[in-house]
Amino acid sequence: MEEPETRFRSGGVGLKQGEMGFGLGLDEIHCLIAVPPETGNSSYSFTALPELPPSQAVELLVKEDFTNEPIATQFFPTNASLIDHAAKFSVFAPTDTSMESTTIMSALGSRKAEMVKQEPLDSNSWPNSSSPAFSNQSLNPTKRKHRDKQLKESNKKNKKPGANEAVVSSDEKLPYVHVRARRGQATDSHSLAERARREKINARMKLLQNLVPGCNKISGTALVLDEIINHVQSLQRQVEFLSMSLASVDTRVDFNLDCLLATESGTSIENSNPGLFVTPIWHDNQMSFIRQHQHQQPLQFDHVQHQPSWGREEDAVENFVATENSPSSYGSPSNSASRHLSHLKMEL
Amino acid sequence: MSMLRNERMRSNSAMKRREFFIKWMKGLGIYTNFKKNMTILYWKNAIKSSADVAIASTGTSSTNWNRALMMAIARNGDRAAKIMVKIVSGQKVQSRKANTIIFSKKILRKSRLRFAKKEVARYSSSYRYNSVAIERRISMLKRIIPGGEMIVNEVRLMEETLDYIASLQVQVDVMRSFVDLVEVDKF
Repeated sequence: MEEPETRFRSGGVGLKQGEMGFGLGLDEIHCLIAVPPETGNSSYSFTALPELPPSQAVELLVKEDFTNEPIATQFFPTNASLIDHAAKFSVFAPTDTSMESTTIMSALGSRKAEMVKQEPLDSNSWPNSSSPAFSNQSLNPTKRKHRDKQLKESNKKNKKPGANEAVVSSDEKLPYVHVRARRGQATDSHSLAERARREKINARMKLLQNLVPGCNKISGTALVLDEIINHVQSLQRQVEFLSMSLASVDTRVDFNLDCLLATESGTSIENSNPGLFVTPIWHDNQMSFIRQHQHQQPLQFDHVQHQPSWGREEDAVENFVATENSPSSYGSPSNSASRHLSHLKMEL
Repeated sequence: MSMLRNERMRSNSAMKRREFFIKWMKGLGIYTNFKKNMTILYWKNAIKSSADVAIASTGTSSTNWNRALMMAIARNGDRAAKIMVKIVSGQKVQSRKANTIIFSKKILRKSRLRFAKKEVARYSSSYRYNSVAIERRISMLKRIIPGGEMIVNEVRLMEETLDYIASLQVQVDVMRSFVDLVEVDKF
């Protein structure tokens, strides 16, 4: 069934997007159709579409012909930590000279390995120089799958038309992945596709394991999924709880956003004169915006409690916004709180 | 090299937090301008919806849960909610499409349940060494993530959860620190 999110690509539609640089008269070159950035889906084609590679692609095996054009960050645009993790998870397995087996580079956001199949003639050079490799290969234009067979198998199966395709695709963007079959594993298109798919899923799972705390030690997909579900549910419940507590603290909040936006510079402005800013409109006197610093100065808060002052609120908000630039300092200001408190005292 | 990356990460997440906070406050301001006397429950709903829309529209995204979340809020909310969604996210939410998507979700779910047993194909495109347990968890995950039920692809689902968890984390962090800022001293 066709889902709106996926497209089943079939047929021999291929755009020749780049030239190969091999110059061997390869008629049926499967060029990759660049995935438009908005869709970003992995299709159901047999090639394993890597998701969008950021510029920190792990490109050990990419040849010079391929232009490494980073596709704009799509999936994890702002969380560079994920990319970090992704980079860690890329698996390199340079082949040994016998070219027995290679592992598939599976890293989210990194360009997957393009291991160009080398012909038996060209044994020990790494894919980057595999240009003469494709002279003997028969390319099936209808199938877009790019598979690299093993040495032994390719020798045998070379005669079979359409069975092996080791197609090099040079392209600007690389939505397709060249997957090398491992030794002793089935090499028909279905299982290869599934294996590539599974690798991708496992890579994502690893990233998820890193993101969810306490998931590193768990092995087994089902339990990891349990943890992920628990984590998501707990985060959602926290949002509910926090919004409820916020609602109970103040019934109405009228912020004057100018004063917020005035702190765009990000410096801590809590010492400045509150008269410089537009006073916010406070609706209630229920709000006391005190930065609680429980360990250090609990007693000073007693007489400060229910006296809202405009300046204090501004200071608190500015302090808050300013400290947002250093996300590590949430809720535990050291100097700013003391200065804040001194400011409070002066006002009373 | 890793130092640069750490700094980049920190500034990135700081920008995200700031953007979320500003959008959230904007949404809250819209609500307060719209309604004069709100019950606590309504206000809590307003806070939550504003936060959701803010986090859904923060950061460029090609994920699906953003749109699904915003559409759900715009669809189930009252007039203030619709206006808020439109303003904060900057996108016009097409309610007609949202309705059809909601309806077709149910149909899809039912049909998928029915056909799930018939799909025995070993080489179907979504083949995985799945036991029933994993399937159950995946379906549960789909239910939790906004707009998840439309996603057939498991890889896509994983990416959505990744992005969703990261954004939820940002949202919870900012909200919690704001609560810390604004709380009444009980003593």
